[in-house]
Amino acid sequence: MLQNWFRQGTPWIWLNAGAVALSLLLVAGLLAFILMHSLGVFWPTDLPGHSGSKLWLYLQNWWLFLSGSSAEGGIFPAILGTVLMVLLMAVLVTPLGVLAAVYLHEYAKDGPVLRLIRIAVHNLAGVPSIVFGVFGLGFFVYFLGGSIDNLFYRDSLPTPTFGTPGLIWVSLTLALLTLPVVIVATEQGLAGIPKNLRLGCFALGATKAEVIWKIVLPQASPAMVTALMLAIARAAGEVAPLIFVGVVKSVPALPLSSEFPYLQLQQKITSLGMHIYDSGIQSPAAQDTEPLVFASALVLITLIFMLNLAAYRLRKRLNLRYGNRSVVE
Amino acid sequence: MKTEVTAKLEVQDLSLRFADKTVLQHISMRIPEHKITAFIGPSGCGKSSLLRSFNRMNELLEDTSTDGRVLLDGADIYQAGVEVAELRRRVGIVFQKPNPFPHSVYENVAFGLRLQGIKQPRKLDELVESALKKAALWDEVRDRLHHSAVNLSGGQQQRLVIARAIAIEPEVLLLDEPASALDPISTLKIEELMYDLKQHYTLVIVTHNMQQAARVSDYTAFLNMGQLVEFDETNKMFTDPSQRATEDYITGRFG
Ligand SMILES: Nc1ncnc2c1ncn2[C@@H]1O[C@H](COP(=O)(O)OP(=O)(O)OP(=O)(O)O)[C@@H](O)[C@H]1O
Ligand SMILES: [Mg+2]
Repeated sequence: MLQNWFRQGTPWIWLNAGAVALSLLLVAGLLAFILMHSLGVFWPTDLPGHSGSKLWLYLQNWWLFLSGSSAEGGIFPAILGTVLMVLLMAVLVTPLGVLAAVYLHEYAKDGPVLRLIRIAVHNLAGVPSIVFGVFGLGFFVYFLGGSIDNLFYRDSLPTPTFGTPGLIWVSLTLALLTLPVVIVATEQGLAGIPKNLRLGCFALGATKAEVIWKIVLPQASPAMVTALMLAIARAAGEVAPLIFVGVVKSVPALPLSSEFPYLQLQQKITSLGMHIYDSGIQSPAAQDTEPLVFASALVLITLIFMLNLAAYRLRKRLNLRYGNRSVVE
Repeated sequence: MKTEVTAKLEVQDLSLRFADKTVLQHISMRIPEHKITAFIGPSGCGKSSLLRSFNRMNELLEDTSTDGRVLLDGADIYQAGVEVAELRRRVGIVFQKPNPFPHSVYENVAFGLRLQGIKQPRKLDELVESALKKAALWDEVRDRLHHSAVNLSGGQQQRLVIARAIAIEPEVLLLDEPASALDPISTLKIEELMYDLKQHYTLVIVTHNMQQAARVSDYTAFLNMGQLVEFDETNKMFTDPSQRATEDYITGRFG
């Protein structure tokens, strides 16, 4: 009886189901915890007279929190900073990672050098993020930024323009941090393309470049979006390394401008992660700000969720477009 | 072989290795122009590999090395400096396993045409339709031209990849078991297509079907274990082969 039970694989199925249940429970627990602590924050306590508009007031409070400046106790600069640094990172890391992956997978000759590069890329993924922060300060801010100042902003020296922490260095550091993720995931996508498709393309008189452009990259584009989703999720929550390169507690002005490129790339920013860290631990009145910490955490999670949702929809469209059946049907 | 026919392809002492396994050994033959040449032989003897060496597809597979020469219109295709993409446009190949692109039926056929720089929609429509008609597929797909080609049946896919290959009008067409998944009627249509095509093009086909080889080909080559055993006019091969092995294989007494 018991032997039969084992042979049917029942314990195995129970183990699997148990693992799934436990993971679900942990994730759900985390979400519930944050929701519990954050949703009630803006519920008006007492409001003699007009109790009917409590909900309205509640929503208004949320809106003030989301859209207000730091001085007003709002987190709009942090939301904007997070979105900007992540999007700019995506713009930087995608072409770099995809090009590197295409080179490694399609052009580089298999051999000890390639293997060494692969190992290096994989190891880069394991480097603690704080190290990237130190590197970003030394290389990007002081070296790159300093050089830019010497070349183009001589007049305003010794006050640095780019040679000081700022948005562009934050995004570059994040791009470097997430580069291995993008390279590895894209390479996996490239490896998954059936050999037959490439051969069929070559057989019609395509050059290698044409095969890559017309078959390989379109087929690998869903994998690239997946890579980007991973990168964004990783980057949006980083705090520690970014303190070195341009993320601060609060900023006097938003990193926007009315002229092209509509961004103040050299300006410091603040981010949700920083805001959570700062108001949760650093603030002298941590007791009072604690509920707000949970509200900010909820906003950060929602933001990452929305970015991922956008990427997911993009991937679905790409899959449809390039006829990946498993997703279409 | 009679000498008055001109050779479109001339194979000279060709050998091919996969890693450390020799797959083709010292093959020499002349593939005549505007004729159909059939390759027959037991599974694994190297028919597909020989076909692939006519437009340098083998070098896209892992760890292969080729020795010897293959002349196309008298010029060695293995020489340094040969434009391989242009060579493959002139010498088209249809693989043993159909490999439609995961695009629409239309885009599959238009693919090679677009590579040639043909962009005008009307021209493309025309060429796509004519290629599909030649491959005996038009009637079945005319209503689903813009549906995914991956959903076609195996036999339809086989004709689609033939249509894709003939759309760019190669001078030489290499067909690796082009009718292996087809019903008798489609097979007949493909054989008619081959007959039409040979007026202008040179065809080389691989087949396991002796009747088909006898029916459609002008010349037949029998390969065994990477060697060319016999190569002659099909009539001669099927009525009076000079090698014992050929006779045994054709009559089914092989092995
Ligand atoms: N990509 C490859 N890597 C290694 N060996 C290969 C490869 N392709 C073919 N071979 C080997 O080369 C030999 C010839 O194969 P080929 O496909 O040319 O035979 P074939 O005559 O076409 O057989 P079939 O009638 O079954 O299609 C076989 O022994 C096969 O195992
Ligand atoms: Mg074969």
